[in-house]
Amino acid sequence: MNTWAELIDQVMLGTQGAASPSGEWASHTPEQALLKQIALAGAARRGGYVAPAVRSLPELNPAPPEVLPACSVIAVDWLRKMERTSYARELIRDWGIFMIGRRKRVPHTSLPSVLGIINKHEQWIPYLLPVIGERGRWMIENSEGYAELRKPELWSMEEMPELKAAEIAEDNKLLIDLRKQMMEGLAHE
Amino acid sequence: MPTWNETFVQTLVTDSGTMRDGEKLARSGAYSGTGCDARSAWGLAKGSGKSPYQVSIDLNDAATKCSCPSRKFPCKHAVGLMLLLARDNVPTGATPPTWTSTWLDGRERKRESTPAPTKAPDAAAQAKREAARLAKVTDGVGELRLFLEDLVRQGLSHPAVKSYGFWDRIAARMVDSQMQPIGRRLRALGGAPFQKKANWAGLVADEVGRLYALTEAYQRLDTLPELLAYDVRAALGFNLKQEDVLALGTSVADRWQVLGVQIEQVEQLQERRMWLYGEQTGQYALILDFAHRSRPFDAVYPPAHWFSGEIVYYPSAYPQRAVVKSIDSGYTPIPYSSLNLSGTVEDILNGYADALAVNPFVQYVPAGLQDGWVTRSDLIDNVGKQLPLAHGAQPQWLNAVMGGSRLPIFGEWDGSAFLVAGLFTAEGWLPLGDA
Repeated sequence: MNTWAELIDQVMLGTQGAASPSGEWASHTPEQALLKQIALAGAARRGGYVAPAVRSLPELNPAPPEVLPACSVIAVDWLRKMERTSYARELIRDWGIFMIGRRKRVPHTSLPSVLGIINKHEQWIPYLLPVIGERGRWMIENSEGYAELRKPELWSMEEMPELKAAEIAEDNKLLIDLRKQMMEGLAHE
Repeated sequence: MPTWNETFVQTLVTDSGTMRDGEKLARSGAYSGTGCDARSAWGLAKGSGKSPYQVSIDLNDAATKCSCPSRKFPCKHAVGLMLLLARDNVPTGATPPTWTSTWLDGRERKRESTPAPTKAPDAAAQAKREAARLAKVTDGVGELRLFLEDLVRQGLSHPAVKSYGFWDRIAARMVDSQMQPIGRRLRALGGAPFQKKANWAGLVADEVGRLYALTEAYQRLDTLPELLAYDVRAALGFNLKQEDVLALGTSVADRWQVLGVQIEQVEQLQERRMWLYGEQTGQYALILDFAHRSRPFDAVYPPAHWFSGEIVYYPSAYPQRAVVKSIDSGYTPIPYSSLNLSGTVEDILNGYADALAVNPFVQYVPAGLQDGWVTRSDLIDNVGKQLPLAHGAQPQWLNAVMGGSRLPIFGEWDGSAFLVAGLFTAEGWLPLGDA
C-alpha cells in the first residue's frame, strides 16, 4: 500500500489517465481502489496516531490572583457596542474612566475581546489597560499577539480626566442619548 | 433538585443574547409578585404589553413557562427570574399563584399519565414506508458512491472542490435521500479548504475515505455483525425510536456526571451532544438530541452536576449514544476536587483506538484531561504529549480562562483534533466561548 502522503498526492491530482490497478486491487477501477486505500490508511492513521511530545514541559507560570472584582458581562457588552458603533467610539473613554472609578476589571472570559479592542485602538489604551486586571497583564506579558502592548510608555498613567458628558456637543443628540443609556446600564456596577 | 447559582443558570441558556437580556431585567426591577416554594418559583415581569408576563419555573428540572410571545426557551423573562432566584432575591414561603400551580399540576399529570392506547400500527403501511425509505437510502448510497468516485477521478485540486456550493449540492441530495447525517458531514467539508489548515487535503481525503467505507458497509449490511450493522444504519440516518432503544439496548444505573456539552447549529436545527460519565462503571454516554433553533431542548442536564439514574445505550458495537431512562435524584454540583478525568493524552488515544477497532465508523470519543494545558494550537498533558486543537478552539480565550494553570478540560477527540466541550475552573464549569 502507498504511504498516506502518496495517497494524498494521488487524490489531489485525480485518477484521470491513471493506469488500471494491479495486484490486490486488480478487480477495482482506479477510483474504487484509491478510495478504499484512503479509507484503510485513514483509519490506520487515526487509530495509530502518535502524539508528539514537547521537548520539555513548560514551566508553570500561573497568573497572579486578581485584586479587583470583575465587572458584569453587560458592562463589557456596552464597551463592545461602543467599539462597533463608529460615531460612539469616543464614549469608550467614558466607559474606561467609569470602570476605573468603580475599581472593577473585566471578567477573564471577556479578556480576548477587550484586549482585541485595545490592540485596535491605541488612543483608548490609557482608559482600558487599567481594567484588564492581573490576568490581562499576564496575557500581555505571555502572549506574542499582544507584544505591542508591552511598551512601558503605554503603562505610564497620567491623571484620569473627568467623565466628558459636558464636552459632547449639544447638537449631537444621538451620542448624548447613547451615553445616557450606557451610564444607566453601568449604574449597577 | 439543581443548585440555583449563576453558573447553573448560564448552563440553561443557549444564546448569550437571552442571558444578557435576562440579566438586564433582573437588575432593572422589572419583576413584581415574586415568590418561591420547594417546588416552584414565580413572578410577574414587566414587558411591552399592557399586562405583565406571568413567569413560572419548575425547580425540579428547571423547566420554565412564560406568557410572553417569545419563541425562545427559556425566554429573557424566565432567565431574569432564574437570576433573581440564584441571587436569593426571591422571597420564600409564599403560596404559588394559580397560573403557576395549574401549570405545575399539568406537568405532573403528564409525567404520571399512562400513554393513551394508541391505534395498533398498520403493519402493512409501516412495511411500505420502511421499504420506500430503504429504497431512497439505497439510491442515495449509490449516488454518493458515484459522487466520491467522480471526485477522486477529477482530483481535489479541481477548483470546484474549493467552493461551498460544490459540497452543498451533494449534501442536499443526501438529505433528499433521508441520509441527514451524511448531508451534514458533506456540508462541513465545504469549509475545510478555508480554515487555513495546511493539511486540508488530508482532512477532506480522510472524510471522503470514511464515507466511502460506510457505503461499502451498507452494501454488505446483511453480512456484518448485528451490532455493527446498527452502527452503519445509525451513521446513515436510520434512527431507532426511543421505545426500541429501551427494548433493545443495555441499561446501566450509575451516578452520572455531566461533563461537557457541544451545541452545533445546522441551518434551522440545533444538535446538542451532552457527555455523561458514570462514576461507578467508568462508562461514558452521549445524549444526543435535536431541537429547532427557536425551540428548547426537551431535557436539561446542567454541566458540572451529577444525578443518579438509569440510562440505556443504543445497540452498538461500541456503545456510546444513550437515552436517559430515569433520573432518581436531583442535580448536585460535582465538587471540583472530585473530578477525575483521564490522566494523559495516551489514555485518550488508546480509548479512540479501542473504539475504532470495534466500530470503524465511530466519529469521536469523549476525551478529558485532568491537568490540561493549552498553547496556541495544542492541548498538552502533564507529561508533555500534545493533541492538536480543533478549528475554532479559541486558544486566546482558553489562555485567558486558564491563566497559565493546568485545569480539567473535557472534549471530543475525532482522530485528528480535540474539540473543547467544557472547562472546569475553581469558579465553575465554562463552555468554550468569549463572553
